[in-house]
Amino acid sequence: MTSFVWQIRSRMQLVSDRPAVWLSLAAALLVSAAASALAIGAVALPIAELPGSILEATHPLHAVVWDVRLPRIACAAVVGMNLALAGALLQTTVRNPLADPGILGVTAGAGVGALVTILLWPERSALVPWSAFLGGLGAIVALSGLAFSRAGTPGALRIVLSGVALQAILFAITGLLTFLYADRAPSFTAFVVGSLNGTGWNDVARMLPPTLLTLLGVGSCLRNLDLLLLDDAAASGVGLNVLRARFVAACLAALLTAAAVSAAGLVGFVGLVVPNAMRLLVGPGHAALLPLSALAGAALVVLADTIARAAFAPIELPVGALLALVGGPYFLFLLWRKLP
Amino acid sequence: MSVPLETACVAVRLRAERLHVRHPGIDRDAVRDVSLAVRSGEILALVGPNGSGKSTLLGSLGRDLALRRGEVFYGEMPVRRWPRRRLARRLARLPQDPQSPEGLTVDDLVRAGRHPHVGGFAPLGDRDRRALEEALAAVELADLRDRPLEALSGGERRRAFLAMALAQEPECLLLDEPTAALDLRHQLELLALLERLNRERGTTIALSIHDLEHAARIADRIAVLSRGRIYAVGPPAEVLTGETLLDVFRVDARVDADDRGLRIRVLGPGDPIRSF
Repeated sequence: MTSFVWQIRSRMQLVSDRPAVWLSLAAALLVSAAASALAIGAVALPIAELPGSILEATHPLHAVVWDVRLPRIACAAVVGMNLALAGALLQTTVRNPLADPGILGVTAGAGVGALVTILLWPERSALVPWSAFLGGLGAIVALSGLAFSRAGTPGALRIVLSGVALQAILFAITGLLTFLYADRAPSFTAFVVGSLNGTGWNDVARMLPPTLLTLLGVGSCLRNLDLLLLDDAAASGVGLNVLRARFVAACLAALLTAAAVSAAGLVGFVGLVVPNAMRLLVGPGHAALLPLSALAGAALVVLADTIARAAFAPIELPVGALLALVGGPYFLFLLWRKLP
Repeated sequence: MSVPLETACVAVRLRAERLHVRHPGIDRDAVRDVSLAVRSGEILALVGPNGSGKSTLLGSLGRDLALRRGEVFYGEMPVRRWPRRRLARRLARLPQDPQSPEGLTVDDLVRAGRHPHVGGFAPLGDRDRRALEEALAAVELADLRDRPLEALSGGERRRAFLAMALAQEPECLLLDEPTAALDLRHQLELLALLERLNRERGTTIALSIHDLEHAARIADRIAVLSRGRIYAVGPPAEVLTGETLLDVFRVDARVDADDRGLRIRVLGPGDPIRSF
């Protein structure tokens, strides 16, 4: 495995070993994904008219662009960014590339947390990401109990299996809640698969506070995150409080995931695929890895959502299904490479 | 309260007092009632058979392990009360078998050694850079600095982790079997490096080591551990005797002193004479 990663990395570094190059490429990808998402829809919008449709109130598609397409793109971008960042943080936290908010059950925990607010206080939608955060945090605590109960760092298999078991329980709770309160709860299928259908500016606004908060938090602990990559003994030897740093990173990941879940439901695999791929380009240092993952994650979900909308129009597929179609095989590939 | 004789005469850097340490999940102390002082400026070698508690003792001296009973002091203050980064500026350690994270380069690793010296967002200063270069040069890894750790041999990786500890510019180094996994030549070079650090910078060094002749050559004092207890502490020639080798290591051996150090000739396995 190591030599495999090393081979790809050295080949990629022949293309460029400068993170700035990859960052600009990812930014360009995000912009073009957003542009195509604006252009494609029930009413097609020629690329040449894009600026006009956004800026001029007289343009026939001005309302469609501002009320439907732009908020959905913004949502997709924030969801993608958050999930990719959460994946990168969790991979560092458990020191294992197989980690992902979906696989570890953090997404499912956040889902239950979100549902509780949706059902109990339907009028307080601003609270949804925060109760989702509590749910995600609960999942992390439960996972640490399950996987870290014995001495030493648990292996990949133990972590993944604990996540699977946890997720089964949380999905059952989600299923019970959505079926018992079918009148108020979102549809189980759409929620569990993850979908951006019908998202608007209010969803973006709901995601912003927790997202901005975590971005600040992540920025302030970049160096600690790098140290977490080291062996526990080595990291605490240079003065890091390893347990606290791990807990902080897990909390940040839970908050990012919670924000994403509150808008899109349980979208999976973005956090697995994106950081692992980006690590091949710029290595494990977080100063480059996190911004690049954020941009690439945003681009991936915007792109996937556009395809989900357009592929079988007028039927809109849930974006989560499409992402799982890509992410699932990649997960299998990682398992096959990583496990003995 | 009476001060132990040892600590009264010489400046002590690091001190374990009536230490009991137990590993999670094992209902037996790995270190039992150990008191040991590492004197300022000395090289102290911990020797003992497998499972005698060398690593555990080093780990608890370096705050890696929770103490069941007793206390470890660095200077006057208990180690657990020291702010972590401040302690890391003075005390560095080389764990026995550190895992190397995928994709991290030698340079990244050694840079981490400057963490205790560099504030939150501050970039590395001239002094940090100099410390990095010195550390890399000391372990002869300057040429491989851009290599990822997993592309190194076991010995090179070991030296990279040592460079990280050196980059901390500590006044005290704890090394858990630093010569394990090294070839003969690198073993000798590493021991020479430690002696140089000790002589030129006055770095206090405590290390665990299996090769008794190496231990005798490098160390000012040797502590022999046996089943979690200190069997003997003192200058090499006094401590490493045929009797010690029979009692602790259970080998029949002849120990001769010459001008180049101790010569230990192992004749075969031996059984300590015990009175049941």
